[in-house]
Amino acid sequence: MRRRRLTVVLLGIIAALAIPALSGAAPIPGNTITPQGFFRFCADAQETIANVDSAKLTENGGDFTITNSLYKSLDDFVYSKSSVTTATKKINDSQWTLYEDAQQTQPKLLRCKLRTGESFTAGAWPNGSTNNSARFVVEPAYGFGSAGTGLSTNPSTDQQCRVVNQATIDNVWGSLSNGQKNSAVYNPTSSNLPSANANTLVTVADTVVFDGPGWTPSVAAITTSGSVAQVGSRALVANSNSTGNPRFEGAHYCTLVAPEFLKRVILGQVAPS
Amino acid sequence: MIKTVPKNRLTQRIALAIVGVLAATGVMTMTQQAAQASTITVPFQCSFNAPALNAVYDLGISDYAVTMTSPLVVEYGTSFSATYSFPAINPNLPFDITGAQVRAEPKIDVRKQSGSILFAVSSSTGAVSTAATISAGGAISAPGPVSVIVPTTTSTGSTQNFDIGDKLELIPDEFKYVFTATDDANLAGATVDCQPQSTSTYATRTTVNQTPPASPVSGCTAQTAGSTGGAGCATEQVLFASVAGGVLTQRAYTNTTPTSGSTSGATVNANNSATSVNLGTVQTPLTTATVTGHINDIEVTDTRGGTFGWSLTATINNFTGDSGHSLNKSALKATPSCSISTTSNAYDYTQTTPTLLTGFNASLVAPGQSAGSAAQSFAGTVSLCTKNTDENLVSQSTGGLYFVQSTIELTLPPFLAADRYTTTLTITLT
Repeated sequence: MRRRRLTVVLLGIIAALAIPALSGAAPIPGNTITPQGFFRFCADAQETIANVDSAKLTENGGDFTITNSLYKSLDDFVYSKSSVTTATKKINDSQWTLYEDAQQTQPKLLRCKLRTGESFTAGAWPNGSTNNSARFVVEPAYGFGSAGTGLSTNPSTDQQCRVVNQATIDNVWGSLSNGQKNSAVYNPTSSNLPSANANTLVTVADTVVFDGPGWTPSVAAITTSGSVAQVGSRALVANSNSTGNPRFEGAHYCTLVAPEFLKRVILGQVAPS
Repeated sequence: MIKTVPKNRLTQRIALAIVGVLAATGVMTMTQQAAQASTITVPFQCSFNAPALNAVYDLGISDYAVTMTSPLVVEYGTSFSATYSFPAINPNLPFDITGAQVRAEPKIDVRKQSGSILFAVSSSTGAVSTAATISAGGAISAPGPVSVIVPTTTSTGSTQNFDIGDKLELIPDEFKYVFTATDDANLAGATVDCQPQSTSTYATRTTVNQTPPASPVSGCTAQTAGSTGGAGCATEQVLFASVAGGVLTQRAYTNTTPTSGSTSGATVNANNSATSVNLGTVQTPLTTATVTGHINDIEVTDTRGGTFGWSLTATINNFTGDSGHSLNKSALKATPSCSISTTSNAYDYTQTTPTLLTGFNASLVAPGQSAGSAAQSFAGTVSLCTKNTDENLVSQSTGGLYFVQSTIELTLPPFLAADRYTTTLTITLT
């Protein structure tokens, strides 16, 4: 009994220490099967990835908004691009969810098309640049120009997608009961637990690609290395003015584990995949 | 030789028999009611909007079928209803929505027939559903059908009133499910927005009629004293004219164009009556041979006086020879043409010989006829001509005279057995 109490206290301290590291970042939802979690997952990830100063967002009294367009069709999602709407100061992200089940009630992995922090202060595309087609046409601008100054607190260095995955791990782990933690198959903490050794659930560095065809193929949400479950991300990063094809630029894409799937893996209900 | 058999009269007889049966069983009443309404089913594509969360979910739903119905005829000065009927829609959301109350909000645009400017927009809200939980993966529904009230004399923002005799087109616009309440404040203002997915215009059509006075005035007094001033007075005489619907017919007329690829011999190489097609004579060929001829001309006359389409098709059986040989029907191909009749071929269908109509005006014939494709094989049914429901703007009907011709090409294999090959060409108008 005493040991269990001590464990709880230690975890509390770990959680408290983790907060400064995420200062300024969005609280990543611990699930995607609530309206808030489902509709805002990538928008919240956007805050983290681009080091968005949350005080600049409308919900905190600022004048920027992150909107999220979700697609059921993977083809439509592939055609979509992240973008900005300068007149209304909107960052427009895209989201697609891979489900475990045909009924689409158990999310497994999310794909997010986000903007880079450096793009916020970039201006319009060069004249004559090719846009997307039909309903996927976007405003021909990388970012907001000077109006975007300060929107990112560190525009030169985006966060890796793994930071979002780590926040998901923290949230999911934090939502478990002590009984669930003690019977967990994988353990993200540095303390051994009755059924899982310490540090058997980790994030790994992003696998970075530089074009859509490299990012679109199927990817595992969680892999294993021995007894350790590894949550990775395939990322696409294309800074403004980097490829000569502006409609693909200012883009930071991530594949991210769905909290519900992560929880099921931790509890041993499904195998990592 | 091919014998031609027009078949439309038989078809009509069958139709009449069916109507008789329906009337006897009481179904006729429903049929008549349906005939007095204009109904269309429109495919929509839909998205889920969550404005409080700054999110839009493209549901990837297409061909969501919404049906809109409006009356065929309304009285001038009286508003009327266009009715939306709609099935439940499944957005496949991965979460429950508890305490959900939903209503439908259809919207229509109104314009005069073929006008380019919409001059009225009407919308309506349906009843709100009782609070319930929409389970993850479950469908959203709302009480329906929902009627949209359309004013006929004026409307907000209108620059032009409807006039007596106007034919209105009611065009389905956005259709929405609106969440009026849920337990989750994040879904405040959430909607499922459906837009007509086709760029082509769908519309029901409603004609504005004049309402005759219930008690026409036959006498009045213009002045009661003096010889100047006064408002004058008016009497009324209600004029009636009825136009009864006519018929849809076809009649064949002899096409005497000689064939190519054959000669006169055992048979002539040109048609000698409206019911025979003579492809001439060829010698048993050393290599594949082709004979090209014409079926007899056909004129379709439509005086039904409404909005109807039609179709003219042709079939044959395998050719059989007098000496017992045969030739597969796929050896024959047709390339039809179909056009609005002209003053030189607009015949009176009641006459068995070509008798030109006096005063025929081709500009009053409804457009929308189209010939079947070229080189259609008689292995199946050949489409000679179809007419859609485009109306003539003056006649306001789909009626007219249409002249249908077709070349036919018979392919004869090498060393084909000498014989006299015959089949019957059956031409069906429906």
